[in-house]
Amino acid sequence: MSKLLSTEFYKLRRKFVTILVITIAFAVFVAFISTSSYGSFYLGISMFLTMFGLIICGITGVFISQDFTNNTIRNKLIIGHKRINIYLSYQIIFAALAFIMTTAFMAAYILSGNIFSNFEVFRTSEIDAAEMRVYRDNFFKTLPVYLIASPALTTLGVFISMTAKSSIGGVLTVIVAYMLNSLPLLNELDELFSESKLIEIFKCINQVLPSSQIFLMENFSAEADFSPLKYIVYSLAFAVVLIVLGYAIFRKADLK
Amino acid sequence: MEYVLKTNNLCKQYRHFKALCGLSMHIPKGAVYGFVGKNGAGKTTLIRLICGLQYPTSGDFELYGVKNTDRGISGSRSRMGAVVETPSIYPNMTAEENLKMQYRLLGMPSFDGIQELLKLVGLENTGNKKAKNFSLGMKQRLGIAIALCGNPDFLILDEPINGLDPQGIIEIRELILKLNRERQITVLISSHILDELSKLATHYGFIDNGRIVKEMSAEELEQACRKCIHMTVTDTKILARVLDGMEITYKILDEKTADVYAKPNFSQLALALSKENCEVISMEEHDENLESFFVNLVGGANHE
Repeated sequence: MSKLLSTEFYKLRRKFVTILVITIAFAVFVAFISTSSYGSFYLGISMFLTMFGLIICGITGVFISQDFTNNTIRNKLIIGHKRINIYLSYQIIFAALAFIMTTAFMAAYILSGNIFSNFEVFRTSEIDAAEMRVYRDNFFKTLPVYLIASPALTTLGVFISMTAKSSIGGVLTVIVAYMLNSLPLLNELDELFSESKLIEIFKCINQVLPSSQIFLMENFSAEADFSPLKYIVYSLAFAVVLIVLGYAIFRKADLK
Repeated sequence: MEYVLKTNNLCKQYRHFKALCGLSMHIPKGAVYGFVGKNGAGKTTLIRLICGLQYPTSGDFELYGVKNTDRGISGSRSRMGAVVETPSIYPNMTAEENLKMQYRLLGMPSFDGIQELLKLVGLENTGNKKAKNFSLGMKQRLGIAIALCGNPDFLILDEPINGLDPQGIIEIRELILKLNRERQITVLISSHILDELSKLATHYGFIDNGRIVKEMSAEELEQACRKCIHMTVTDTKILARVLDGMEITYKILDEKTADVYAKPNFSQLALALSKENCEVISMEEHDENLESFFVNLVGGANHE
């Protein structure tokens, strides 16, 4: 396993700095837009984080599918690496990448947001002090959820690319990620179709699905009984299910 | 005899298509095993099974005495290198970087052997040239170099000369012979270019419709393909006595037929046989090459 991790890390190392620079630049850009009002500094981030998480998911799919396109996955199997180790090595590397990038994004976002607003975002004016405190508290309460949801989302990229076993995997991951981006919007149809069972199902899915969690976290965190732990457990369960399912398919798959 | 690979009734079925049905083959240690068969005969399928890219539907195989179902098969596979169909290389990396990747996968402590490997396959002067800009022959040689990382004892090459120019074919052939002779690497080489195989192989396995039709050594094949006169006589015992007297090598096939491995004076031979009351019924020249031997073996065009 360590050999596989070292190889994957070396491969990714070449692109790591580029991805990190883009992430930080993106965070600074988002912070610049968000600092136009105090509320949006705390509120606007989830939309961008969802997009960011899905981009990392897409990157995961594209990177892994390259191993199938170049047939370099054969090199691992021929010399005797076990399929479980191959699957998990991809998963560990990309989950770690997502975690590092999300942390970098959040850090860059908070730091640059404060710089742009002369550190006013952490101060509360007398007029809206109470409201700002709620925003700020919720923002920091949801941070662990974001940090777990983003790596959990990479399990989807690994699952799709390892199941497709070709260059299609990369494309498919990007398409699925794009589709998932619009799924949280179904929660908004609640007012129009309050009786619909389908909407209820989608609401449940949106609670479990990491991408929807990130997108809707501001709404969830406003609830009285909000518990970040619940969403972290959902993300982890989502990840475990996809890893088990993905490996079960890959374990018996015929490779070319 | 010690075998590197033994397969036992291997079967592989893809939905309704049987790619391998009951394939049994034996690759002796130190051999260059020519795996001969038509397109679609099952050569690549067998190689994929051995490499662990696919699983057999039924049957099993032993690699260095370890069954494919045993836990130790991963260890046996680490003693093996393979190029299956196209070389598995990172196109955006140089030859050296590609080898470094393989070294990492193998967990080799240092990259010391890389330059030697590059020299062995003739890619030592490629510098910063990316693998995607390599010619087909260079890619093939890089694929072999990757397969040779970790000093394997067993090398599997699936159609390594496909698409190569004559110079490339010679280079690959010489490389395989060098590896076999100097490093004692057992080689399984699949091909349908029989003329090329005949310059390399010490053993042959003929595959058709997912089955091994015949396994034989190069000597046995040479014997089978040797130029001879196929004679039909009334009594081969008399023929044998006469040929012994004329110091001519022969092989008695049955009571009435024999192969004579020389060009005797037929008038003298017929006269001598006539004196012994043995009649020559027919004589025909038998000159079979590897190609015609293979065609006869698998049934030629009728078989398709």
